[in-house]
Amino acid sequence: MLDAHEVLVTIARLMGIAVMLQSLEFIKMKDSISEKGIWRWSELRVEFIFLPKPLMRFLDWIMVEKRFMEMMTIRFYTAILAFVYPHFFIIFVILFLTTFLITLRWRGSFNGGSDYLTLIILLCLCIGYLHPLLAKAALWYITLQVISSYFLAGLYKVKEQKWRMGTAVYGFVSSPNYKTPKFLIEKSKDPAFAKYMAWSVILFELTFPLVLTLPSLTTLYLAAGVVFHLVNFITFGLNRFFWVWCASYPAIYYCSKLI
Amino acid sequence: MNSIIILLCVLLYFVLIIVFSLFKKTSQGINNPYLNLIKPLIPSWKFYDDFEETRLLFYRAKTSDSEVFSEWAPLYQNSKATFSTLFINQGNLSLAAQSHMQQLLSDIEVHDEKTPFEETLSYKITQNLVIYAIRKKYTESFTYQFKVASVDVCAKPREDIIISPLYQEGVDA
Repeated sequence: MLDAHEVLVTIARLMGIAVMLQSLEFIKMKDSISEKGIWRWSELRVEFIFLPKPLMRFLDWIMVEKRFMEMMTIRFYTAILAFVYPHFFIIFVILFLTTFLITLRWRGSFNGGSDYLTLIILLCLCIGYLHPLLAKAALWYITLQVISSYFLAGLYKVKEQKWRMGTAVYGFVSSPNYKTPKFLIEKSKDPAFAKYMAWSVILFELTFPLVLTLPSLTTLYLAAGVVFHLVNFITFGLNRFFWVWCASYPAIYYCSKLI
Repeated sequence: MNSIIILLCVLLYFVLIIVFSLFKKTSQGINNPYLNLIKPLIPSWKFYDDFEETRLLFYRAKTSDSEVFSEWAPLYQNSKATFSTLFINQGNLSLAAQSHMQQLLSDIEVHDEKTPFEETLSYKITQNLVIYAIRKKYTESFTYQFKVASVDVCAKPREDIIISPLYQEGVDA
């Protein structure tokens, strides 16, 4: 029988890698949050003026470019610590709070779903380290959220006719927003291939809850999940999703063993 | 016995999700500002369900009055995936810009006309996105204009959604 604490430690190490890479990305694009950049705190702060004054003063202090970047540097080193020595509860409190501040700085999220799952996993790590029973609850919460992320995405897709017909695949891969490899764009012009791809994605996402049922299915779905996120990275450039979703897989593996 | 109970609970959870998704037709924005703050903790997990036209941010700029404006050029298209971008992806800035475009479009829809749209935060950030990108190309002062437009697969503008007046941007001291 797997130990819940040990599984949390594995997730903590993987999250350490994910958050370290995220922090480096932020540090590299630091001029985008300066007062001559894109997300200027002097403009963004109007969205928070409803907050109590002490909290607003804190945000005014922490969100300015210089301090925000210092916070990113602290986040980077804390993430390394999470990988090397993932046993301190306080590490994950720091990572959670800094990630939460990032979501505020970017009006909800910088990178959509990957920020959301980063926050959820870090919150679960904070709670899970407090008590063995909470560790189990935290792992179940991560598992249900991750399975829901696939299942709901599949459910929303299957309700769309363009996904059922396969035309949505060409629409997304050929979108000028992304630099999808040319062969994939050309291939998805073929209606049969596009339909096959669309239904592969829909069925994979909709049946993902089966990951909890049989050991062979657990391995199969988790391996397919890794491939799925790699393909998403190649197609849409979503690198953060790859790291964060992979970091959650030990929780799914653990919960599948309990059934 | 325990396994059966867990399995039933998980099954019930997903049945509830299906039932809930059948009744919930649209996702209205959250109006409470405090709830908005914790929105990232309650994700909807909607990925690529909304099949709409692609909208891109375009700009054109010139450095002198005698010069003719360049063609409208698209901004913030994601870069091609390479092995190194699996680790550090500067293209995430483009993805953040694209997320902002979604926010801008939804703000355009709900704008109440009491204040000029140019004074909204979304418009200012859009303007910053444009200036930030043009500054990487020009070192001198420039005149610029931007627009958000729906595009075809070749990223050519089809229908304008919003088009800015001409702006002048000086050189930093």
